[in-house]
Amino acid sequence: MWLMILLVATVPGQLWQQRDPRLWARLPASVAGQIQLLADSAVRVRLPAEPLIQKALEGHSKGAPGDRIVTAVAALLRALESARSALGPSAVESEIMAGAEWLRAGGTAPHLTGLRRTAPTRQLAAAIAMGTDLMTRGWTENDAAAATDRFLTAKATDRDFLLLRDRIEQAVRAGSSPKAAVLSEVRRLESGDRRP
Amino acid sequence: MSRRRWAAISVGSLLMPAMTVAQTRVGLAAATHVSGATLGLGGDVTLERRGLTFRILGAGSRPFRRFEGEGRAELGYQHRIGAATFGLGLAGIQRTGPGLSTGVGPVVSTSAEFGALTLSGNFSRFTAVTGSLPGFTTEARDSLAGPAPTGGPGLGSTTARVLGHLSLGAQWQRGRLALSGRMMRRTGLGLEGQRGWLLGAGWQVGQWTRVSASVGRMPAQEAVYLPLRNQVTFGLAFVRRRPRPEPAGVVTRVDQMVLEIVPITDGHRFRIRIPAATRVELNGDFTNWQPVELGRTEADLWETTLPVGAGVYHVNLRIDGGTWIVPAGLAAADDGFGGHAGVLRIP
Repeated sequence: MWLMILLVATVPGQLWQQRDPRLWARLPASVAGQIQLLADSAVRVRLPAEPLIQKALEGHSKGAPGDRIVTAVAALLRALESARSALGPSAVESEIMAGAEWLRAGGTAPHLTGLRRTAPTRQLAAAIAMGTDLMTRGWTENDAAAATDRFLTAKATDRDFLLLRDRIEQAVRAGSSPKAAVLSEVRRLESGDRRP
Repeated sequence: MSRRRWAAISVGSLLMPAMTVAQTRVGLAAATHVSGATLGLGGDVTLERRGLTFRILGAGSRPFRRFEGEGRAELGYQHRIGAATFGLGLAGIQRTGPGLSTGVGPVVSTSAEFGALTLSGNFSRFTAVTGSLPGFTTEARDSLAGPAPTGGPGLGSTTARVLGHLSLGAQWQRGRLALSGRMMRRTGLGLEGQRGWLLGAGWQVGQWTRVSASVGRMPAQEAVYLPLRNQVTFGLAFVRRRPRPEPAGVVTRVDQMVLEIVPITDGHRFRIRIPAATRVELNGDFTNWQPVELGRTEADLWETTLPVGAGVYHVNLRIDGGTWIVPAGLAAADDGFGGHAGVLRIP
């Protein structure tokens, strides 16, 4: 991967396959060319390119210098690649993007693989997103992964995962410990109570 | 049918203020109307659970020197898609007065919200069995509603009639003030597509109390021999307003610096309450990271509508040209540029 980034930084600008007009309209040509090559390489290995384009536009919108934008986009590409490796070749785009967020939030690949092992046939994007949210709110990766794993075992739906984060946060704010809040929600799901 | 004008009040008009408590999950409304020597009282109880609605309406008044009453029960289901609702139900109706009328029929309703404006429409169609009360003379009846149409009920007789009622309305609400307008069209034997209209205004006095007034022209209520008539009403309603139902897409509530996401027909409405701001901008991957300026809709409340579907997005907010911040209530993800972006999930 580092070799690829090095190549991206040095290749002439004509090598990109298909220009994304959003990049070329807003970023300096040299930066746009490097981002375009990263996006093209993502497409070649069947990774989503749109998050890379968006990261570049975000950097430009926030006034980041060109080299910082390229670095951030390259880091995101690495995260996407690692997420796909952890989740397996059957992972769909939304799962890969959620997995990349997990890794960028401080999570590790083995936990992602563990979640896939728990639920090998269902889509994990919503589950991983909930775990990522918990980590960004101060949970340790172990606790976030354990909570996500328990909910998957309890057959939580995508909508459950969306609501669970808020419910757990509310319980914690009300004085419950994170583990007690998770346990309470798991019991609720296992009892068949799916009320929002 | 005679089109004499009457300064009077009808049971139907009594029901109008009560109908405005459709937003009451469990509530009771009462209205008193004065027009000349006429007084009326109406009530409404509505129960809603998971889209299933049960509503009982009752009203009585004493127009035209006699008592008349109306009771109505509706059972239906309302389905919400974005900011629109669609309802289908069955209603039963019982009217007393110079003519007795009992009917049952389907009710179809729909409404859509566009910011402070709500548009609504409903259609009901009753097969009513109508008869007359003893002691109500033919002269009295004809003086009110004109002669009964051919084939209509005579004294002591009964007949079945199909009566339709189409109503289209708009309500605008901001703060304590609510303004409404409604067009009505009644069809049925002898009514010949009569039209009516009603303009109303309401002011929420306290948590439970609303005063209202309306002017309009009501189509005839043929079943109880009420003629086409002008009317003015003054109402006092005791209403427990329920909070606006939280649509599926709502992520957070409108609070200070907390972004609220409300699904609408072709996207989502983003609202946030920020005190003392002069300019508020939203930025995110759903705008290709090009800032969108929010409009101020009322004091401290900022709003914009974007064609955004379900998904996971990264967003930032900027107030008065300052730095990009994460809206309260959202998880903050490292943006790779020394700051953070809020993670917004729209189901």
